[in-house]
Amino acid sequence: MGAVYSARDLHFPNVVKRVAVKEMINLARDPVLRDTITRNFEREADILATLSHPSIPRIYDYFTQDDRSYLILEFIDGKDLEEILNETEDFLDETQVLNWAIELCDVISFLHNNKPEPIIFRDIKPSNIMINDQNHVLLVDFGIAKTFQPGQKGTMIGTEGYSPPEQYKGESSQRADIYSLAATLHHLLTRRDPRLEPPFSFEERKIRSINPAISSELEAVIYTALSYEPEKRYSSIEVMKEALLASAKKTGLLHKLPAAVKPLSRDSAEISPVWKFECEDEIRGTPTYSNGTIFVGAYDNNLYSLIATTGKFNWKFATEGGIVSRPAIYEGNIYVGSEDQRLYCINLRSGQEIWSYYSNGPIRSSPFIAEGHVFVGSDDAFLHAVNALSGRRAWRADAGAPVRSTPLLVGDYIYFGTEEGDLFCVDLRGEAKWRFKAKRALTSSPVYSNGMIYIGSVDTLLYALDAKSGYIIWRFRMTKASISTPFIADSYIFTGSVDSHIYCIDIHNAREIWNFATGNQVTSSPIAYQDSVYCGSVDGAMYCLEFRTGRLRWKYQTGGPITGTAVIANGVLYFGSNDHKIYAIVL
Amino acid sequence: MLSFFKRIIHRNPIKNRPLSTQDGMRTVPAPSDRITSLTPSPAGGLTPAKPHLEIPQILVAVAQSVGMQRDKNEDSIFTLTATLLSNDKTTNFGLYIMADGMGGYEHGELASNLAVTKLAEYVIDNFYLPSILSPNHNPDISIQGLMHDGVMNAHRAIKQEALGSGTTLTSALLLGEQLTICHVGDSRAYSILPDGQLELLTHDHSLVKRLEEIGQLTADEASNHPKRNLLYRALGQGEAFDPDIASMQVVEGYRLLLCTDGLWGVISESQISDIIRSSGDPQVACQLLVEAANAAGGPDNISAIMVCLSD
Repeated sequence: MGAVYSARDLHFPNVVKRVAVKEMINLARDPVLRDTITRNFEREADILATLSHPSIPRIYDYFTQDDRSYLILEFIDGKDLEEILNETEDFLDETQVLNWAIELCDVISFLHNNKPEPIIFRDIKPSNIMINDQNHVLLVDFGIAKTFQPGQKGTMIGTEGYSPPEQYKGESSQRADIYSLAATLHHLLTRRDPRLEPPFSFEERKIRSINPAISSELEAVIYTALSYEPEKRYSSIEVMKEALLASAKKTGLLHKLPAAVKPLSRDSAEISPVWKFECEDEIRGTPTYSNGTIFVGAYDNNLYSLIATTGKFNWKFATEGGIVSRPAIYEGNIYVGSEDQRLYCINLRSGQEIWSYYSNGPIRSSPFIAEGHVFVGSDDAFLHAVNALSGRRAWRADAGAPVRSTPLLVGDYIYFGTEEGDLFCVDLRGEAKWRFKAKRALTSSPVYSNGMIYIGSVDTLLYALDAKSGYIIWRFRMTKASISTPFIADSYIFTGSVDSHIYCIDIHNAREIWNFATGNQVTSSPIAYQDSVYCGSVDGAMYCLEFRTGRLRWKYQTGGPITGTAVIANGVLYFGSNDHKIYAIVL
Repeated sequence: MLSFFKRIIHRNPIKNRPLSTQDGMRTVPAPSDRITSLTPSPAGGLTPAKPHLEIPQILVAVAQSVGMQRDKNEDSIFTLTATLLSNDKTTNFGLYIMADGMGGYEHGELASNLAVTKLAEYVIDNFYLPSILSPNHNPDISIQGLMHDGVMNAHRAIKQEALGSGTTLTSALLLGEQLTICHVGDSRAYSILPDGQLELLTHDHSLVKRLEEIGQLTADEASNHPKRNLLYRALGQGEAFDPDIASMQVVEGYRLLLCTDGLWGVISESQISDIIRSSGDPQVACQLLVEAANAAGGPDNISAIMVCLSD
């Protein structure tokens, strides 16, 4: 439609006075239409020429020659905000954006109060805002250029993405500029270009969930200005400016304090366990809750029974190897595997052994009990099916590699992973129905939802497989191995990775909703409860994150890595740590 | 800078051609005599009584019409139904694609044809052929990744071979019990519930739909809005984007309907439900749906694909 030239004003031969020359080409063929366009241009140029404001470039002259019209403007040394966004990688500073916003309010207020007719800019967006070398804003590219856009395109005023909904009803008022300014601020603070997103979806991209450093006060002002109903926005740009100033006062930003990142986590002193219980060695596994009792295995070879409310010791049962798995409960008995190669069946109340079953390798898989049988994997490379009452083997299925993954039974099929990366689907007789091969070990345990099996792999991928055939429906890539077992809640799937992150993924399409960085590997599995996600990390902390955003609610630091998974019962969170202790925290 | 009109696709307004007689209507592929022969039995089902079928059978029906007011068809479709051998078991495989080329743009029909064929080609080359060439070896590719890459492939092909044009693309890949829908634009995929009610699976990428969602237009205003054909996302238009993708479990008895706005924009969802409910056979249903849209003026090309898993 035209170009902008940098030119020198020869009226001042002794000095270099630079000006900008904007050229617009009149594309209309019809002579009447051409004349109308030229006249509209001149009329608008006349209005612009009378405007005098530090944030509006001055107009020195205009003229038309043949099919081209020219506007001579003040030359601005600077960049527009779109360029600035493209050239920076990080988020822009909140104080900086606020300062620009306040200056923009001033210039928009000047236009809205123009006499006799208020001027509505209609097209506020980053590329129409210049920042000069003194870091002041200038509004450029007044609607004037639109006069030259051919055809019925002229009926669509404003740039999609920044313009308010009412423009599609043919309405336009000062409040349209308020909306566009807020949309521009949203873009500046989140770096998400609204032109690449569905229209009117700012609410779905909450500023603070993308850029948590932004104050909630500023966020609130922007969302008020982004209301779909014009009457719910600020009544005038002056009122919006007041709101921006008030938000800045509250957060102290106005005094140019460095934008401090607010401490998001509560001190672990504020989160205090109702009880701790110390074993004689590391707790690497996961506790089980049943009927007022917590059962947990430790690396000191014992299975402990503790009173859930007080942490008082009930009994312990000694095996001859470390216990790293999670015990399972079935009909009054508790079942647990040990690195001494045995699977034990123990009376829940007395802690007496009922039977033990020998595999040929350490048992690190957790037992899964269904249909009167205990299914458990062993480092002897078999999946064992053991009669829950008698302790006799029903069958064992050759897996070709150690099985540390916890088997899962859904309908007539049992799913489990191996250290060679095979995921087996076997029937209740132990016969393989299908097999899926990941590139590295499947230490994580499979979970099932709506016909799909989800499992993480040491090959860095989380897989979603059709439960009937093993075809891959989607996969989600992390930076490092995952041995964490996924957890499903609503339509989200949560998992952890050795890359130290906790991930939240949309279960329908594997899109990442958020991730949260802990200080070390996440081998523990997340669990969701109410609107929070709980997950431990090798950095020694138990994290409580906001379910939908991944924002940290609190963390509790223990004295050693947390590798097991937490369990929640009656509003209490139980978990073990390698500092030998088991913790109970009231939520 | 992105130009507004690269992102927003304005489709041709409906031509105000007087409604012609039924002769002007072209309907493919089933001839009308087949319809009479397949008239539903009083019981509402197909006669004779259903035999017991081990594998869920897939029934696919298609109907298309250029409509009553357009000269050319800019809708393209693709269907493929097969079985694959996986772990010594046959698994159902089906690929169903529908695209509605943008009127008002050069080569709308070229864009829709490219979209459909490029996606089909991609799925066949990267999934179907490897599966049949080495049975029992599931290809190491994720279905959602496959569909995503296939759609991007089509997007690039349109930008290369039909620059400036655009198209919708709604596709469904059935594999075993998982149905994966991949979608851009305002063609639609519906689940047909056992009682004939429709459940919309896709989200129209249209400006007016968005305005309706945020409460700025009523459903009535939206259906009559002059810009109701304005899409904010279409294949062949704009920068790279992610198509909507989701997978769901489907079991015996499941029914899927894919259709262009020449159907859903012309007759109501309840009319569509009624027609499906009253016709036991999917082919009859598709034909009747197209006829109903034509009877309501047939302002646009009409396409319908129905996929049914037997009980």
